[in-house]
Amino acid sequence: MLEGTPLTLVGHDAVAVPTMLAVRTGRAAHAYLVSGPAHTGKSTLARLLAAAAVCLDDAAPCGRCSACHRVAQGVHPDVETLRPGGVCDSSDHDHSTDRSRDIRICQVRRVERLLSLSPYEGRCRVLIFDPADALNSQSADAFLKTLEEPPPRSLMMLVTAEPGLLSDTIRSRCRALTLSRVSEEAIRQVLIATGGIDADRAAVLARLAGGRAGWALTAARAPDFLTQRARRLDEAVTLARAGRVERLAAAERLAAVFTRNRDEVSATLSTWVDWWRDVLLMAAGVPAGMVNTDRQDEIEAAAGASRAAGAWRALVALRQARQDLESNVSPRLALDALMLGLPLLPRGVT
Amino acid sequence: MKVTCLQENLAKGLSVVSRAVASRSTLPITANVLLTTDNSRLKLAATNLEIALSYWIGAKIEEEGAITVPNKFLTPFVDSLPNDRMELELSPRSKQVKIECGRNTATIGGMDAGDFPPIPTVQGDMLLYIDPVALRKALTQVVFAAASDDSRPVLQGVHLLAEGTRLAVAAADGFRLAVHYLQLSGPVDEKLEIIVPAKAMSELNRLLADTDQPVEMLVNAARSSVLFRLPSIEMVVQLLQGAYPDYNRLIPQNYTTRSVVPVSEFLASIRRAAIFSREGSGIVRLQVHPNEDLVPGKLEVQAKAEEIGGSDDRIDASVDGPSAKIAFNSRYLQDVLGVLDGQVALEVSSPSLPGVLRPVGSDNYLHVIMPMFVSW
Repeated sequence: MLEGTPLTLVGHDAVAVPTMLAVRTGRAAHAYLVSGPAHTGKSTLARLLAAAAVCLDDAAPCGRCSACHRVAQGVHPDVETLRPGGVCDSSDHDHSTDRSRDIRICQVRRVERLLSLSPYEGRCRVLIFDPADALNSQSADAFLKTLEEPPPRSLMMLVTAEPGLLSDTIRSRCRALTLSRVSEEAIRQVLIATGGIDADRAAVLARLAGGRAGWALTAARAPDFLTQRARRLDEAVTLARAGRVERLAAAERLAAVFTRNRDEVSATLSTWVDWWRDVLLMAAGVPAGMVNTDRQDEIEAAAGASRAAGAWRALVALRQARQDLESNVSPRLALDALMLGLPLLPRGVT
Repeated sequence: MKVTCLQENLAKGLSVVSRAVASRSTLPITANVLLTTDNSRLKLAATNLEIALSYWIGAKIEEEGAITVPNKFLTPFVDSLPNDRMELELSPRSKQVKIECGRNTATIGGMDAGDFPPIPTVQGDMLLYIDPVALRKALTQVVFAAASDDSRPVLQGVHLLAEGTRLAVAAADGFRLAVHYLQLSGPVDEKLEIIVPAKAMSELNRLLADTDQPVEMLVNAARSSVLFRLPSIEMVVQLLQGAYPDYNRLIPQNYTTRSVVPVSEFLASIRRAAIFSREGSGIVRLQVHPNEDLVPGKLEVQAKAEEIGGSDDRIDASVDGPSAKIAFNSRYLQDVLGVLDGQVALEVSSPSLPGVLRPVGSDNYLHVIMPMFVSW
């Protein structure tokens, strides 16, 4: 859909097509709750619907007119995306400097005011809350009234990977659009079609993506993504064979990284989870579901040494560590505990 | 683009359009001013997506073109220049605008004019001509009564209703209502009702100070935007959507007591009372004492500050009707008395019903204020 623009939605035809038609013909609901796993195309769908609402062509969204292009670039005056730390009307504070992690009530007040004005380019005003779960309780309450009595010529979209975090009052006032994971094959084809990537890499990324097309596309665009993944996997292999002293040193290193860059650590741990899961599958004798097929030899060796029980212990330790880091346990302690929880494999050929 | 113009004209134009430059916006380009050659003139334009202002200045166009330049740099620099001929030259590839005036030169990097949000064009059949002096007076007497908080968006607007040969300009915030009736030069074809954001009306009021030509007001068919055209200036405003409350039902149809007092004395008394009422909830108590044989009536203005004291003023008033009392918020009285002159009539019927203020000698304005409930 909309080739040639950054708005590429992979799969989800059953959800997207009828909704698009409804928006185009003016029979859309006033508000949609777009939910689904991370990186499956929720924001893209929201922007496609926005484009359909403001497109200047009859076959909206045409993807060719200036309105569609500006929606894709995020600069259309009638399409406003609310994120944590956006602008508001009050001049006495600055969200960009205070690292706001919520969509605050003052931001909501601003868009409510905007929504009450006629659309700038005449069609429709579109509000996208991305992610909607960033609305804190005050701002969600403030927004309820608008959600209940939307001004004419307006369309609201609440995008979230965690619909359970929204209050019932909000959820019940939106029509639900639920996206699910798409097939590996669809992702592989899109990776090849968008160009710049060979079939082998596309196959690896599609498998790693776990049904999340957005993730695969981002990874395909990041030149060092596969290198970083290789580094993380090497680390997992080394650590599995390392002694306690080396492991604790690694924990210290990771904890230092965590204070600077949480995402880096979270990506590392998730790569390790994938690897240990593969070890578990291999040890259990069901290698068909493996993700890191390019590392089969190492995984076989580790599976032989750790057995299924060892791999299971590693996965439990990893899950605990991720939970702990999420809930603000001291990173050093959480990572130390993780390192001690991984099974000790005999050193040797890997 | 290559243009020569006078510093004075450019500075004037920039001071006008700067009012519509966005200070906080999700579109960075709206912090820029759009410069476009337009026949033999230079058009300056800015929009914050709520108000769009365009201003034309006379200029010698040597080469056509368009560019947007950050207002943050352009306006202060042009303001600082001597009043002299100046030249603006755009090098299209680098998007740098070179400004030369005498021995002063600056270059400012711009952004493509094509990326600037289009300044809305308003086409429609609803065209009114309004006398600028009368409109200015109407706006001054009405706009302040619009709501400033976010409770109901339509109340943050000014309601314009053109019917027959009359244009009613009204604003209300739930506690007060101001209505001014303007006489139009000719009847309108059909009833026109729009709600314009109060902020935009304040801007219009400011622009009207410089003109004595009739103002053109044009509303598009979709009733989504309004254009005000003044000499060399166009202001396009996005209208508020929604239904405005039927304010005629809020205007009391009768009264029991009417007292006429000079505005200046009344205002001075309210200001004195406000010194004390600030401590409370801004309550000012008014008591009307009717005329007695040979003794004129009185309007008594009282305010109290708990545990401190209070004030008590008496103003000579010509009273029609029995004695009466009512309490108002001092700020509301100060606001309305501040935009009136001459004599004002205060009409009340009971401490729990709204009071009405009308200028004496003209029936084109009225102001309704909700009373405050106090124990007498």
